[in-house]
Amino acid sequence: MQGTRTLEVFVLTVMLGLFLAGMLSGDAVQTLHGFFRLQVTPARLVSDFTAVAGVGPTLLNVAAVGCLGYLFLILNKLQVSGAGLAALFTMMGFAFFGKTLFNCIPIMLGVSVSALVVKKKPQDYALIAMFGTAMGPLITFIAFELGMRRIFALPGSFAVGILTGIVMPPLAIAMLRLHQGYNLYNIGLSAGFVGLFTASLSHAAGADILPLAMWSTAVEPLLVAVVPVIALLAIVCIVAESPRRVGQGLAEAFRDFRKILTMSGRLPSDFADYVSPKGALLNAAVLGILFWLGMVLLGAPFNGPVLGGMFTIVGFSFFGKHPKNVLPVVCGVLVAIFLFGKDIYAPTPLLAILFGTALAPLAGEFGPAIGFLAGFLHLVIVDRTSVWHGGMDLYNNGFAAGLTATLIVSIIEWYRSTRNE
Amino acid sequence: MKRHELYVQLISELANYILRGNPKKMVISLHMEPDGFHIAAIDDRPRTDEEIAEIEHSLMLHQRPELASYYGTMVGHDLLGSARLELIGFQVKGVKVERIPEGGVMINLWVGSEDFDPGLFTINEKARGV
Repeated sequence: MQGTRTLEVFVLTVMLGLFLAGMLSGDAVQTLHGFFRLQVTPARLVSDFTAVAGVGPTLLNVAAVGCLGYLFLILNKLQVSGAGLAALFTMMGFAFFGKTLFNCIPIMLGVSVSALVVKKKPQDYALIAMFGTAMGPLITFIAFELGMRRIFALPGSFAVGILTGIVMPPLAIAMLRLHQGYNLYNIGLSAGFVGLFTASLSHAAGADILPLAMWSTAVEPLLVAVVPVIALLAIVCIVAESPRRVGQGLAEAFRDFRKILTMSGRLPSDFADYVSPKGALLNAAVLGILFWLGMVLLGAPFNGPVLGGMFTIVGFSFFGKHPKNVLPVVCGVLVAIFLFGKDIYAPTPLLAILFGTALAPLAGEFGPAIGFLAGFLHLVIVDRTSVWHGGMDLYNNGFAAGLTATLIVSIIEWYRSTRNE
Repeated sequence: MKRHELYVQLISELANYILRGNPKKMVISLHMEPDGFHIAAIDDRPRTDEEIAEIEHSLMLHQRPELASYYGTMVGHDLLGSARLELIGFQVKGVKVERIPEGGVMINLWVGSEDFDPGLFTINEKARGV
């Protein structure tokens, strides 16, 4: 129980810190104005909110979307667990480049309606509702990009959001079966599926949806500092659990971290529940710093999408990712980037390094060679998938990772089940 | 979910777990009541105290409706890779793991709806995880 409380304090402090940083980074009125502007801004991939409205409004949007997710957990009487943290950090991460209060709420309502339709409680589908906000850009697209009159566009976008939420649970459950839990961003595959149909419908109606390309390269010290501060906060939370025996607390966290390294990470691997919150917090700090250092050494821009990638990694370090299962995948992505002569600083390859870690369970279960192969194939396919859904699915890497995992899992399953023993 | 589907899926995942230990014998029994059921699985593979504690830990994960209704749907379906007792753990009302004289273990699972009545089964306070 104390461990769960620690996780709750951790995420609430992160949200409070982001809110204060957003409000204090500039003129408060301007920040609020920018925040409201983000709500009506096209949110399709790639819409870097730091380039659209600046750092302050973006951080405020991240904190607001995080609060929405937290309130949703509380309303559904759910604890802040490893899975909950993964969902919260994913929501916050994508609020740097696509998610807003406006486009998240209808989907969350729709998923809750879906639960009621099959006589379940909304809490049963709470994770699907939170991750399902990946389809947020569809709502913003209908409301503000289609050119409809506002009187029809706003209720229409809300209705489409609810409908999208209603179809999300059956799709999410069916897609799990395809890759068998080896793609951590399962909703990315489900949302990509929906996005594929909506983009095709739009194309059939004569309106092609082309992905956007808003990508900041400005150096913002505040954004560079966000992930190291979160990693430091994770360490402080470990120490705060047993303030009178700091050494022992850290030793226990290290022991549990080593245990996490032995796990495959296949869905659902709630490290905070299966091992301990301390070990999961240390894992989050280590992974956060590793990827932050990687981006610094690479000279990558610390913009909205890159920070979104790192937030998602921190979140999933409570729910499937650890250094041992992500590194082979990252190596595979890097080798593919260099082999095919891609520009590593372009959005797709750079984001694939971060989000391609959705395939970490393949490395965890079948070894680093399979993880490497998965990363390699992921880079190849993710380059094309965003065009298929017109940037409507924010988890484009989750979509590509789902396809990659399905391919690899099918081959391994066929080989294992048909060869003679 | 139809009840017989749940029986099949839970038994399948449990059998998958036990068979991965390469036992020579495995027995699985099912006792059904209107609001719940009891599955007992027995094998002949000796296990250490640590292994038994791990089985119990996986199965005693407290009720997690958000995981059970989403990821729990994989139980008994996707058998590639290691067996996952925690998928069963999301669904159960009570668990008891004990050594049997023949050398193996007996895993008892009680699963029930909201109206589950433990009085109909041989389930005690410890097994209910309270």
